[in-house]
Amino acid sequence: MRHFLILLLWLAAAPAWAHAVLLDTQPGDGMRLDAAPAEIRARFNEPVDAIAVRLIDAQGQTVAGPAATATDSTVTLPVPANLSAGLYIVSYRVTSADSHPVAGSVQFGIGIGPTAEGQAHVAGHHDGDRLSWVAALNRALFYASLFVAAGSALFIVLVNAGTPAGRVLSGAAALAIVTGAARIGLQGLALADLPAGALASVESWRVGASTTLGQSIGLTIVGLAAMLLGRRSTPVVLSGAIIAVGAVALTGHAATAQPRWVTTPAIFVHALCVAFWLGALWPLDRALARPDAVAIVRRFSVLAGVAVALLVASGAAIAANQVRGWAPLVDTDYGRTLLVKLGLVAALLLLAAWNKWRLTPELARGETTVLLGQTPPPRALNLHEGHAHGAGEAAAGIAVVTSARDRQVLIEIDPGRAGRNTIELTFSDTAGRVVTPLEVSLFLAQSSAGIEPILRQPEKVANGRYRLTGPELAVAGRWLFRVEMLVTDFDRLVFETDIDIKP
Amino acid sequence: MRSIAIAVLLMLGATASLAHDYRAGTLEIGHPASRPSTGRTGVAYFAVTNKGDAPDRLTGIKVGGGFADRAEMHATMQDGDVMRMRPVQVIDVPPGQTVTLAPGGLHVMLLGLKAPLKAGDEMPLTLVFERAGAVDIKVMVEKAGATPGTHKGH
Ligand SMILES: [Cu+2]
Repeated sequence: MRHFLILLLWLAAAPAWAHAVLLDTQPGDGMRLDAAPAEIRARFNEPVDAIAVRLIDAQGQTVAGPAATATDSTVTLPVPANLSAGLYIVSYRVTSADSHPVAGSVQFGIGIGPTAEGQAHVAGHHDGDRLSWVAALNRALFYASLFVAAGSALFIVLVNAGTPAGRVLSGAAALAIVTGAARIGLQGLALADLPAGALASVESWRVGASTTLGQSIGLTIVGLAAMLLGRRSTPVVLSGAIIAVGAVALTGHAATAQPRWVTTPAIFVHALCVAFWLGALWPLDRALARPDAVAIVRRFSVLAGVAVALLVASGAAIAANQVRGWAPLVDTDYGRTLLVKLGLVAALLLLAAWNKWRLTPELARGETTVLLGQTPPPRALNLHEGHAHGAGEAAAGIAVVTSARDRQVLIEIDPGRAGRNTIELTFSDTAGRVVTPLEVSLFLAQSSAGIEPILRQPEKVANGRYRLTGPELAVAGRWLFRVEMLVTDFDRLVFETDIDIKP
Repeated sequence: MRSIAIAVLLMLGATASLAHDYRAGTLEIGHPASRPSTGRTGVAYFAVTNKGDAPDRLTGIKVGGGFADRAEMHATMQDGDVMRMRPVQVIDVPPGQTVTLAPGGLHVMLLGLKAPLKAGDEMPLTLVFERAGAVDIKVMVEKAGATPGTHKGH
């Protein structure tokens, strides 16, 4: 019964982050049609009200809308029959049940394809891919071992001191120290844009240690070391575990998002609860073999209920904070990660309820997956060997430089007129040295033409250099360029500038 | 008396250039500086700080007194040994941000100099901002070693 209560609790908490997310459109983004569609449909994850939905042609004229009909979670916009060949933008602004507005744009072509043809991959990419794979695996190992180490400590202290989980605790703590240290070095490599061999150099570690990520992991290592060295003392182990996991809240764009008095404690609580959940699996499994298993499981169930409630509450706070503000929900990366995570959590809780907390291997695997999806959404580290590209290219089109903090982005648009353009983003520090972001997003919007932000993921063509070729800037006028740069796993910089696109 | 003042300024070194600061609305333009040139191309550097709440942008630079044909704003992007330079039309100055034109990064390119620049020369430039309007500044040519870095590629 308690388990259904927890489930209900979770369901009740769910609407807190349930802003509408666009699932798909007809025609789809980037689609090429042979003939004009009879209507345009946009399907969301939940019922929405259509505030304004427009079909905008390449001249910036609204050819259909803004009035659209919303039936349940689908918005339909009838399209005039005489639609000519060309490029079109569907710009939508809807509200979901919580009256949170969600806006965005998608693009399609009639008779012509709007997607960039032949965005060739640059040679030399593969080495970087392999390294980023190593970095992602290392990070997964780090989180898993950290949470297992701290979680077993919490279990031993809070649930049952007699559980023989000491060896798992020590092993996991040692693994977390090693993988954590490796993360600092890998972070330094990525930041300083050094080749993989430089991991043996002091430079990569010095750079890595100077970041908030480096400092956070440093503190985690201190906590883990305290747990290992002070194994005999309950207060030392407990505070070591809390420090090791709590350090996670010192860095990251979720933890450092404003207002920090909400986000930092929320991440702190979230991480501790996740650690308790994951770390409890193995000791709990061992405890089941003991004569006092029933008492232990009962005690665990009470704490687990509290942990789940805290997990859901802190998760809701983090998610609500993350998906607030300027068209954040078109950033479907986060939205999708969140949905997948919620799906896994729901599946887990159902499973747990059905199995009456019988710990099954499925539970173990499912929980691990949820964990890896937590706090920072998994992102690939980009590590690339420096490779040369031709200097002295023609200075065609428009070039604008905009800054945020100690970073700059050079935005180059060729030819800089309405229609098909190549947009290049080059990121550098203030001394002009290119820096390679972990991830780059570009939002393009033109409010005067009613074009809500179009989200694009430019492709990396060289160190710190990203390219997008396409018809997004279909209409002349003043466009808002919003560039989001993931500096480190946890540090996001936003650049915003207006650029005039000529007819 | 004047020589003492100069000697003091020289001793103070870089701080001496703080005397060359300019204000225009919420913008502060600090430390306009250049360095000696050998050919017909020179550079100029300065920093712009936006102390206001509204974004502004540098949209052009005019050469005063005809000491050069024209001035361009350039961005330099350096990737290892590879340097890429290109003219830019706009340099944003977001609110609360200091944008620094300095060796290796953003800079003003002075093209078609009538005479090579020597240490101690002063050049009048007009910076054109979208909101703050035109701002006249004087750029002092400092000793070659005063500003580190090189400016090749032209
Ligand atoms: Cu130049």
